[in-house]
Amino acid sequence: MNHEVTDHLKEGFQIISKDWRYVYLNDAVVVHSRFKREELIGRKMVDVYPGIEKTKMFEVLEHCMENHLSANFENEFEYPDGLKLWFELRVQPYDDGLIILSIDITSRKNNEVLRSGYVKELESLIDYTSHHIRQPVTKILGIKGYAESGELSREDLLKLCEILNKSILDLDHVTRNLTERMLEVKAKTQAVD
Amino acid sequence: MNILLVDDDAGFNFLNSRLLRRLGVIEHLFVCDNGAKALKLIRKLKSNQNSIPKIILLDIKMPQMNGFDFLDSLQEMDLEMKEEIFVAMLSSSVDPTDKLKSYAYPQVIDYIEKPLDAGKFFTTLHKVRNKQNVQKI
Repeated sequence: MNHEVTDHLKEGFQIISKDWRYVYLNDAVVVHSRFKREELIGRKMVDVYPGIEKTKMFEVLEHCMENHLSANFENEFEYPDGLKLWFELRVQPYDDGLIILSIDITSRKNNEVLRSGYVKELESLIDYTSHHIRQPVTKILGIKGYAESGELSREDLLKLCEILNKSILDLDHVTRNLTERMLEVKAKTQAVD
Repeated sequence: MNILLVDDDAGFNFLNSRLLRRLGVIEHLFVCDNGAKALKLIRKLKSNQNSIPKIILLDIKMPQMNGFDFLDSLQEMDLEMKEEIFVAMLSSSVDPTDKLKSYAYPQVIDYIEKPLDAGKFFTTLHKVRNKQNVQKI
């Protein structure tokens, strides 16, 4: 195979032999591997990354190798020093081995996690607004509606004032709470930026 | 017509009770401050067809047993008159998911956004009467 084209692809390109040795790695894979090319070529995957044989990713690779099958999947790879990066992997059978194409998708995955976190925060704020803030507001509207709908006894008037007073205090409390929660979300967003 | 008001908020219970009594269409008004008490009341009344509430005005957000938990238990309850009990959700929530979730229950005939007023109540009553007429046919 002529590797002139694959050598400089942005996408990682590697060929693994049937006995799990690195046969070819383009520049991108070498960068992803955090090793030098000469430290990888001819060595077995399990020797370079001890414990890799116990991972879900290796299970898929084994399945592809044994059955000459293709597979596409996303995998979070943990390096020996604990660093974790996400890769989108495309595996294809090649002769008796495998071709593995890889793209670093860590940034996209982190954004997905962040976005999901924001959506959860937003849902929680919607729930809070919808139930806790609307509650005293609708009660005040209810008082207004009831007061306008007919004559009020002195007893009614006292009770309405009591409810109104409680609603105003509740509203004060929940709006302060809401502001605090929104400031927390803002602080989290700024910490990420 | 007998009506059951289920809301944990004493202020709303006062306002809604007064409003409903003012409308002059109620024979008996029951008020419970949580879903569990409301279920207990229905169990207690179920032997007497005439005293069973025909409309339940049900709040969603309540401690211990919320409105949806109440509806789940009501569905499971062994009650002959179940199809003659209509539930109108009565909530401060303007979250459309609450409304969608409510209408998934067969007993729910209306979703009233608080505050309750005469117009909203009569709309619900109209829906109940229409449904009762269909049931008679």
